[in-house]
Amino acid sequence: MPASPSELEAGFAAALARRWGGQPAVRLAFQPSLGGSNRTLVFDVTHAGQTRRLVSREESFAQSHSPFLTPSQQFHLLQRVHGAGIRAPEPVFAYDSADALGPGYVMAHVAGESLPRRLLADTSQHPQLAAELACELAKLHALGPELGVELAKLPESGDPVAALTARIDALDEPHPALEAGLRWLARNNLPPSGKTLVHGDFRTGNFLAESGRLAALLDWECSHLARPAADIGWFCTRSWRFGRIAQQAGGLATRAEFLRLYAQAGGAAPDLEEVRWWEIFGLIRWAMYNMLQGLGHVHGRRSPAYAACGRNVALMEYDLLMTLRGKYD
Amino acid sequence: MYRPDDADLLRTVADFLAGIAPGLSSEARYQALVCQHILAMLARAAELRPPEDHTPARVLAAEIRAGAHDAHWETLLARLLEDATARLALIKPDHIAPSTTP
Repeated sequence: MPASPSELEAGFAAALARRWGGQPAVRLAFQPSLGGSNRTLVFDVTHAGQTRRLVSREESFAQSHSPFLTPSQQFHLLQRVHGAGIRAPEPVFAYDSADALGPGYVMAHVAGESLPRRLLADTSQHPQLAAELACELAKLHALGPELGVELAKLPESGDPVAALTARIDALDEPHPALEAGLRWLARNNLPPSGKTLVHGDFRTGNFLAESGRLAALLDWECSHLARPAADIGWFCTRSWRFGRIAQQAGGLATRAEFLRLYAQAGGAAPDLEEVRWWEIFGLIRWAMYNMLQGLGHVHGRRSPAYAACGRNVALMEYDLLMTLRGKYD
Repeated sequence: MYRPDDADLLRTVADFLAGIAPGLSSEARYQALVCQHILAMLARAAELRPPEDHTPARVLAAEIRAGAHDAHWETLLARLLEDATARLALIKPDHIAPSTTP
């Protein structure tokens, strides 16, 4: 992959010129940030007298048995959900093998804040934001499984406990606490019916908001088919309430309030017990992602933050056991 | 079992400090390089320690999955929570819930 800002700009300009013709002027708007396994670049582009801001997302490494959708799958999904009127970034084009950049795709930039601490700072905005998130989620879930038919063969679209167990097994790292959680989930398993297209990583940190209004749902790389409560439960998982533990729904509202807002927006609200099931699932799943980052560090994707992920699993295990013991709500 | 191991964690911090050292003021750069040296010593010591035996954890994990502990579930959870609390005392003590019993 090209590295210097001017190489990145040249690569992007070439990708645009191939598709749009002419000689688009391109400027990298910010220093590239590396988050997780993707490189995100923001470009200001002037073409045919118009300036717009575009976002390039590239997969910086492809792992075998990755739990994430490929860039191509993400791009096609964005086309469908954006096309169906869901607040998601507008997909512009996908890179191909003739482009210097990629694999990945390009989206229109959406203005807004995604950093949880900043988003949650003004509590007076919480009710509005919670309502808009509940509404957008209900709209997404109403699209139905047909919109996610490409995703039907993913392990996550089958039995969620079996899929999560297989992901954990692939990491070859024994965790008795997580096994206890998986055992509990298996013994209290949900019916396989009632699945629809879910976001798959719906949590505070994965949406853009501005002045208390929802701008876009981001990071669709975990989308699959599941019961709607999968998204609600992940949103309510204890790990991302950002110090506001009693506001189970992403630090913005209580679980019960979020369900009320979801129902008010026309969603078929699941019962509290199912949401709690998915929160237990969420702690184990989040542990799995942290294990994945720790293993990635050992295998060459190195940084202090990735290295710390492995030990962070201990926090999720503790929260899981406290929940199973009835000490955490 | 947690990855990476202690030696790798120490080397990761040492490498990070070595990476940022050139950009620091001369006093901070000097101290950062001393820190790198200290961490490298601890990493070498960690590498000499016998590797942790993960067999008990593997066995317990397999037993739990097979349902062998279903009959005494609360006892299992209590034991696992005790282990998890002890681990958190090292990893992040302020994540441990304050005790509710007097």
